Amino acid sequence: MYAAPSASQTEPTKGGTLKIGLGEQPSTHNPYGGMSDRTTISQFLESLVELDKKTLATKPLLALDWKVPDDKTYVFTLRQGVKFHDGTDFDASAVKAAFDYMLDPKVASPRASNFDRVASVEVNDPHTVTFHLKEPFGVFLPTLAQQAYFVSPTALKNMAPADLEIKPPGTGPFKVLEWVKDDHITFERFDGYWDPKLPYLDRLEYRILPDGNVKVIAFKAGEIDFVDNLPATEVKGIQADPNYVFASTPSTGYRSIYLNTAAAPFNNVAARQALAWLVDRDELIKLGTLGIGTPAYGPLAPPQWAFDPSFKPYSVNIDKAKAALSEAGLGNGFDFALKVSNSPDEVRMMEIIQAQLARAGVKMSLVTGEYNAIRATVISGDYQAFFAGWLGGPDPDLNMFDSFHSKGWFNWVKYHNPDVDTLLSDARASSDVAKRTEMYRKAQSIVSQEAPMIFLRFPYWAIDGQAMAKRVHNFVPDPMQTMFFKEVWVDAS
Amino acid sequence: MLKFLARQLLLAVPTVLLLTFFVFSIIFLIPGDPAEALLGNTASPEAIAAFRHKMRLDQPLLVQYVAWLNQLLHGNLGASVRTSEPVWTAITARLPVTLQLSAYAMIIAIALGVPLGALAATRRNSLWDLLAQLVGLSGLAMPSFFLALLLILLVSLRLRWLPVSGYVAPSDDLLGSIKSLLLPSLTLSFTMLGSIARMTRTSMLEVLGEQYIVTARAKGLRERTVVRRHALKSALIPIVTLIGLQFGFVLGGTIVIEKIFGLPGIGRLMIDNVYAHDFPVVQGVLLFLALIRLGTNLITDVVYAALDPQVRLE
Repeated sequence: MYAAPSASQTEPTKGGTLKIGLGEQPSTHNPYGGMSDRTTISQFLESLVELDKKTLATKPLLALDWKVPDDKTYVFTLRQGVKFHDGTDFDASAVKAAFDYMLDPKVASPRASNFDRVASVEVNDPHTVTFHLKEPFGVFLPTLAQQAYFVSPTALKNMAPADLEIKPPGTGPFKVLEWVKDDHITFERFDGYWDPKLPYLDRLEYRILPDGNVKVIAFKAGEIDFVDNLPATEVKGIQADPNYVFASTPSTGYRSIYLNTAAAPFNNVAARQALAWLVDRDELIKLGTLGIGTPAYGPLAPPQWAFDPSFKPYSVNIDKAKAALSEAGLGNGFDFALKVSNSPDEVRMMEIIQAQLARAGVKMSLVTGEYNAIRATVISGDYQAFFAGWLGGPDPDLNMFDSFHSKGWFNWVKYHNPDVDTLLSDARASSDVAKRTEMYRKAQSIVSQEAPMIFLRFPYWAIDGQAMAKRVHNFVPDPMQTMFFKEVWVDAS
Repeated sequence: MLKFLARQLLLAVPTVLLLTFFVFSIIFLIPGDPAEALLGNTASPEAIAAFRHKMRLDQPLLVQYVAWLNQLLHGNLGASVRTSEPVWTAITARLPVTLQLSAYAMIIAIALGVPLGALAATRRNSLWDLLAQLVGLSGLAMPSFFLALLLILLVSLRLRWLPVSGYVAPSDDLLGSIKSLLLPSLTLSFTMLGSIARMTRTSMLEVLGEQYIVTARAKGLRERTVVRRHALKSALIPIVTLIGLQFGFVLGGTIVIEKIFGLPGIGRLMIDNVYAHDFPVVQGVLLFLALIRLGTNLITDVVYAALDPQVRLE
């Protein structure tokens, strides 16, 4: 079901403008200020490493190479001849300056907590920098790729705070030209980019179009070349239209039902397992999301290296569900309430589940409300079941630790299993991929067996992927749904 | 007249004070925690606690209110929690868009609504009357987001006459600016157009039955003069009130219209920040809009008093 990304058939042409429809504008361009704004900052800021869009493996970006002499030390050799947009050299002292800034308690950067295991950053020579960690951290490289962006140290020192929010100078292929709040953000090519071939485009223009319908109409009217977060109802039509290209790759998120294992009825394992046997994921995807998405049986997502495509511990089996119910002492079924956001798409999905559970006498009532309000009650433990999603990340740790470790920040299902705790802690500390894969798969198997969460569907969003006009070439979709445009080129219009 | 004005202004003071308290506390009625909404799904509990402390969210509501009021009295609306942009700058940057949009919508509604209503009243039960009633009713009944989509589909996608969305500043390109705001202001004007046409019709019919109109006609004045000089002027009094009141609705309507058409105005500023729980911005914009509303009501009272001497004496 995943279409191939648009391949370049001819030689790339230089120049031109790409117009992109963006549903929500970023809160800030200051990489040390906001949290979830990779959409636009990835065009003008870079990290030491990046993630391969196919394998999610860590690849060189501003660092050419790295060594890990022990679990707590990372030595990076930096790319030479790299300049920030303001002319400052990118070197080891710039790396240190950025980390010192981000970790400064006075700056109070929301990204700082990602790097609380960093003890110090040491400049060895202008092109070598060493990170000393307080404890082993297997997720260090993916975290660097996603959370550590470099802004010119000159700007960090001298730039007015208001300008730092709009156009902090990075090393990326584009630089910020203008940001008219709520209207558009324009980037122009950075002529001093370290890869002289790139970027191909002269300009990127993000148009901010909060209404999904209007965004699609503007796309069809040719006012924009590129849209993300396409509504599920539009996907088939766009895919069938020869004027458009649909690019897609599986992403790292999943959708699931959270069960409160600290309260009745789901403090009983058998009651949770009954649900796992009753849920028909294929039917849910066919009816609830128009055939878009794939069934999920565990938290490890298809693009992650630890993902196991053969892992399928449950299939629809009403007899086994009934057996589990009588084992739980709930012979003819039971009632419970599920909290779900009032978005019509989500409510529709849960109505399908409602009908599936009723097949064994399990009555699920829906409690709808504004998402943040519901989420607050879930966090405080005031719920039986909750339908939500997890965006995940490149590393399996980001799909498992916080949700299922006793000390996880988002263990809203109140799940405690000493074996799972050990596996997740050990896997987090190790940097051996083979060993980690084994540990994550083992943990996933225990979690699925004990079913604190009923995994339903990949991905998190309605759809993985973006649509673009035929004149756009060489776009490669990313599992984290960030859009990168440095290698994209357009036909002259 | 001055005494009337002074009394109205004095009455506004407690209203404004009450308003500030209401505006300040309303954000805390929005479900969910601002700190969590702002820091995102992956923030640690420690980071959230630190943020709450930094933003003084851990203090009692009344303490926070007094601090905010004190800040207001120093002419400071505060700054956005997400972007650090001063709220006043955010408002003034977007004000021209919203004012243009509202002004165009008012002009369209008045320019079409009053003549349509007057025509309907003078030619009762004619085709014009039917049209006025139809426009009036559908204007009131049709939700603006639906009308907006219909207009976009027809005018922009099918006919390709006007852009789907986006805003052009008049200083960049005057014609382009008018084009970029035509569909949004037409959509926005529709509800108001309906009310104005209906009100004009009713008010005109009432006036046309008055003794002095009969007298004017009996004096042999031309029907046109009777309608324009004598009937319409008196009939306009309730319409002026209506237009004043409608201005508030227009400002409220910009929230939906700006969101749909992707216009960078004040309504959009507010709704986006409600979703983002950026409370200083929401409080600032709400207060600003409320003060504008209070101001227009005051102006309406004054115009009303100028048109109708009885009001001044009451």
